[in-house]
Amino acid sequence: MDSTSLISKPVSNALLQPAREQGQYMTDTQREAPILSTYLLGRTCDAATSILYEQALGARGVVMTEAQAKLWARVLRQPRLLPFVDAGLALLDRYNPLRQRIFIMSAVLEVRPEFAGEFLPRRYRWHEIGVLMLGGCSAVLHSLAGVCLVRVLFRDSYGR
Amino acid sequence: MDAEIIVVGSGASAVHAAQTLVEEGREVLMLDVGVAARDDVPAPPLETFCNLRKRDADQHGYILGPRFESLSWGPTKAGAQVTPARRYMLARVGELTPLRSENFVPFESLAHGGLGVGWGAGSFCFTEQELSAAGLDPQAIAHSYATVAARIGVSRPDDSLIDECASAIGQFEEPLRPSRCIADLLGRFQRRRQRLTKRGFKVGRTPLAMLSRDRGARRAHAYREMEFYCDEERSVYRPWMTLDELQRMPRFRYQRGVLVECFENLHDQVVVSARSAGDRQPLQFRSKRLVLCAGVLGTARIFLRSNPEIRELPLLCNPYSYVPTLAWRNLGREVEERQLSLAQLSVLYDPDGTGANVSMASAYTYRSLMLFRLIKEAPLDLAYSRRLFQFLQSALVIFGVHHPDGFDGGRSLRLANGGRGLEVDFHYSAAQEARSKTRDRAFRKLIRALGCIPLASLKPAAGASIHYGGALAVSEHQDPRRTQQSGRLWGAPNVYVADGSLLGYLPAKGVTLTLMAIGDRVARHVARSLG
Ligand SMILES: Cc1cc2nc3c(=O)[nH]c(=O)nc-3n(C[C@H](O)[C@H](O)[C@H](O)COP(=O)(O)OP(=O)(O)OC[C@H]3O[C@@H](n4cnc5c(N)ncnc54)[C@H](O)[C@@H]3O)c2cc1C
Repeated sequence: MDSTSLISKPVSNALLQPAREQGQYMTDTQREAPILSTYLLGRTCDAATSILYEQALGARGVVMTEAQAKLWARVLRQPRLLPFVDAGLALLDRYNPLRQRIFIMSAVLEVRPEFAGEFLPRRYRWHEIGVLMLGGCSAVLHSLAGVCLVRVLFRDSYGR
Repeated sequence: MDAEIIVVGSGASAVHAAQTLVEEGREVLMLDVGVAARDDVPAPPLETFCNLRKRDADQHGYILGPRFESLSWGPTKAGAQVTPARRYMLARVGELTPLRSENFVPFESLAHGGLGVGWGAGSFCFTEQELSAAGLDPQAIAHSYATVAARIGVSRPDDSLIDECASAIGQFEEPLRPSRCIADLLGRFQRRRQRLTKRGFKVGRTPLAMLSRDRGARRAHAYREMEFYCDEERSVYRPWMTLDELQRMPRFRYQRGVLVECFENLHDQVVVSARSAGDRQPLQFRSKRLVLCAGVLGTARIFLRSNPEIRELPLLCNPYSYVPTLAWRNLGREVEERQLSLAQLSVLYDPDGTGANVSMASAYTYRSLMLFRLIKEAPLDLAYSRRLFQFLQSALVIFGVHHPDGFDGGRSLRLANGGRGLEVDFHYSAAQEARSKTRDRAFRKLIRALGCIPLASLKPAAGASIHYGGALAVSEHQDPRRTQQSGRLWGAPNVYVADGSLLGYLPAKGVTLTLMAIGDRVARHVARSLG
């Protein structure tokens, strides 16, 4: 089979069927998926991706403490906090369940064809490399600010 | 009598022992735990990795797994790269063959086809010197190398590696087609060849058990980069393919679900005691000869249970580390649509030029293992990690470095849990640790000379090399813990060993082609012993 004949038919997918059946209805977890997608890729995601995220979370059994759940709810209400909390935890507690949720969303996005271009290697122009470098500087700043923020928001666990 | 010959296991060594026995006109019963492949992991459509990623809306099934089992959280552990379709390779091991150790973390398999379900197909002959050091007769093994290589199909390595890696192989498949990134490294080696050869390095394309032309039910490799996810058209050889063929032969029977516990060597027969792997009911089998191919640790368990007076056995395992590197000239470059995810480049390092203790590294590109495995490891926010690794991945080359192992340091295998499990104590000697460190440093220098920047040198716990040997090594002396050249146990004349247990020295090269050759070699002796 050559690449032009690939899977041109719509792909049936029992896993994602509920998305079509549920119409507008969304659970809390499904609602958090577009927020995470916007944070990770700068684009929102469709209902099928949200449902896949919910199923992945269920299958992996991500458990948060009460304090973590509170912080998570706050971060979802104010998504601008996300990069700071994520970066702060990356330094203070890399394998925290909050980051696990973001990690699961990232993996789910990676296996959705519409987002493949954001993960597969591609050619970069010089200016894009420059932007990436600047992004690196801002990631470091996020980390520093994030550590302070997490120490304040998570005083009991990470405060000095 | 249940069979003329019983073979235990269905891994690389077992299936080639069985094939030779059947070809010699013998009747074989193969006993195996034989955990079957999962049927809940969807098979990917026959397409390139990149096209599937861009178009297949169902890819989560075979990439993340039906239960999202690839999304393990926490520091990366050995086996994290095993994809959902291959996970059955490691199933039931903790339950049926438990192992206790503070310093040794091996890979064991109770699967139909053993560890070969997920092996990387790197197929190397040991040199005469290495075979002699291992206690094997080089002339005798040479013939067996040629036999098993002809059965499985091995791609031709570069001429620079033929003498050290493939001298006994008569007929080759065409050499693998390296990806652009790996071809760059090869080109850089060629340009510095004289200088690097003087320092003891040889570099060339890896010999892989992979077809370049259609053969029977197997198809030529199409470079779809899906080797970790499926056995597309059987291009890459796996032991279950031989087992499939054997099951069509009238003199061969395969009984799965059998956990062999011990044997009793009687005057003219062997009694094999086992349990059903399902309901644990005791089972018994009788045969004229028994051939043990349960993997080094599996064979040691069976041997120790059968010989309670023997308390412990030795063990070999290559020191191993891996070095993620950046071939920086490939940064931000497009990657070709069709490439290979198996090892494409092998480096031999023989600093003293004697051929006695050669170390080896293999190089892999990363793309098909997905970014999610990488981004969680970076101390940065996940959004930026994703962007960073997307940029880096076209240049990411992982080197796996193996060093040879002899009986040095403290190693012992003992029965534990009232005979159900094994206890392993494993230390490399200080001299060996120091040698590995010096050589790792030399490899990092070479990696730089090839135009790559080493990012780290990661040393997993002993056992991670997945190459084991030495538990029942060949010896001229009549020692009940040792075997004869023929694989026959000195203390049990109707019982033969035909796996890595025979090796009294473990060269750094992938051991599996040698295990297949040992299977063939021992099988010939077994057939002859029956007249
Ligand atoms: C990811 C990966 C990559 C690898 N890459 C390479 C490579 O590139 N090159 C290379 O040379 N090697 C490689 N290897 C190693 C290679 O897979 C092993 O060396 C080889 O498969 C071992 O074969 P074996 O015959 O010793 O038996 P195993 O594969 O260990 O199989 C043992 C068999 O015995 C059976 N068994 C065990 N105990 C019992 C019992 N008590 N009763 C009944 N049955 C029993 C099991 O069911 C199984 O079928 C790799 C391994 C892995 C996991």
